[in-house]
Amino acid sequence: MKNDNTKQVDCQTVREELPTLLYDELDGESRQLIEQHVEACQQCRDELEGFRRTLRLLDSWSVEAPETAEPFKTHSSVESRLPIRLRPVLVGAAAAVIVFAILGWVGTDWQYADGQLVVTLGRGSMSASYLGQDLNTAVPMLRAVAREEADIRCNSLLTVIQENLVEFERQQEERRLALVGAVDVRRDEDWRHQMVMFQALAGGLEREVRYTNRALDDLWTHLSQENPAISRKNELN
Amino acid sequence: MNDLTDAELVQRFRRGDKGAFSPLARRWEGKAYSLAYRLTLDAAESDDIKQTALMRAFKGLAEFNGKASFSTWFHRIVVNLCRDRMRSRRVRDRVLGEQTGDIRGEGRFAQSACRAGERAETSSRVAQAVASLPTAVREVVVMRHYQDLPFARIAEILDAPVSTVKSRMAQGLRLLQEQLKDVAE
Repeated sequence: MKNDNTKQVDCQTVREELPTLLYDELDGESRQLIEQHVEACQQCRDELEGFRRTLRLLDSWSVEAPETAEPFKTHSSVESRLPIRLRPVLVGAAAAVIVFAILGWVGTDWQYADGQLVVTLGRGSMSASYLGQDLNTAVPMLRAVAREEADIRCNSLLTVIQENLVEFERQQEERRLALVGAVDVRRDEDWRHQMVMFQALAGGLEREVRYTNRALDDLWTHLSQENPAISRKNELN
Repeated sequence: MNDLTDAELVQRFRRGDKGAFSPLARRWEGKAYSLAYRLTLDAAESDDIKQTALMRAFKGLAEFNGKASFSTWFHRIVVNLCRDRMRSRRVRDRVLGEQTGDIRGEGRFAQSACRAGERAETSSRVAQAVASLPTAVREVVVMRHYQDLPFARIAEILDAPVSTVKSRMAQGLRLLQEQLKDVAE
């Protein structure tokens, strides 16, 4: 301590607070106290000046994200991290989802009575009904609804895929850290594990598609029996 | 949606609007990259850390309790990832060094620091000086000076008392001052 003005606060305390002063994080009273001390204490003033100079030097180091840095995209970023061997599996799963989107609806209820066709498609809030005579009108409408429902299912499935991938990535990271001392981190084993998981997922999608196809076949068989004028060709158009 | 606050976007996301994550990701990915780069000095690793942090945030946001701000929570994810990578890199360097009879004690980090600074002498020296700081000190210096986070926020991120954080900053500035004393401004 140099004189009476600096009695209220010791040099050690002031020096620890100098960064707070430099980054303007001190409230009025503390600031005044520290500034008064620095004013009167040559050593603390020197330290403050040294810090100021250091901070100016730190400013010379700028970092910008390189142009090649990928922007965040939940789906593509996950896919791009997959081992090349896994990508066809993901593509297969996506293809199954698309097939499902085109073909699929589950939960179809319908009646044909008094020349009126009543078809209810979907479940709960996603359900839609058609009442009329003209199957050619019904089919596009049902397709649109089916597509909408399938989109939702598709997004839901993609979320599942994505969450699985995040989990895989976490597991992979844990293994990597555990095995990091070795040059060979047994990636093949991780990839095989992921491959099995994806095959299981793709198998589930395929089963859904088969189920949907059966539901469609049943519907058309029944419609054709009730009204021979309705042909499968119309549906396909 | 870009003019919504982090808290509002988080709320939307938790109500099921997954699209609310995109503005959050755009807002924070650059900061995540620069924080990771300054802590690891490895561009590829930093990009990977950024992506992993965003993926973890995306996955964990539904369970995010909101006690801390999104910024604090997200920075914590990035810092923890950096620590993991740095730890595994040190082990790897040591193992590889032993296997190849490599006597370079500084490891890849210091080498990266040299590469990072090839563009400008002062910048290079600063990068090397920051890289040489002890990890706990380096984290505070980088977050306070380059990420512009207040000491209280840094304390939250690191789960440390504010006084400790301030003390590490002062220690960091002294070490940097010593290392950079012959560098012209």
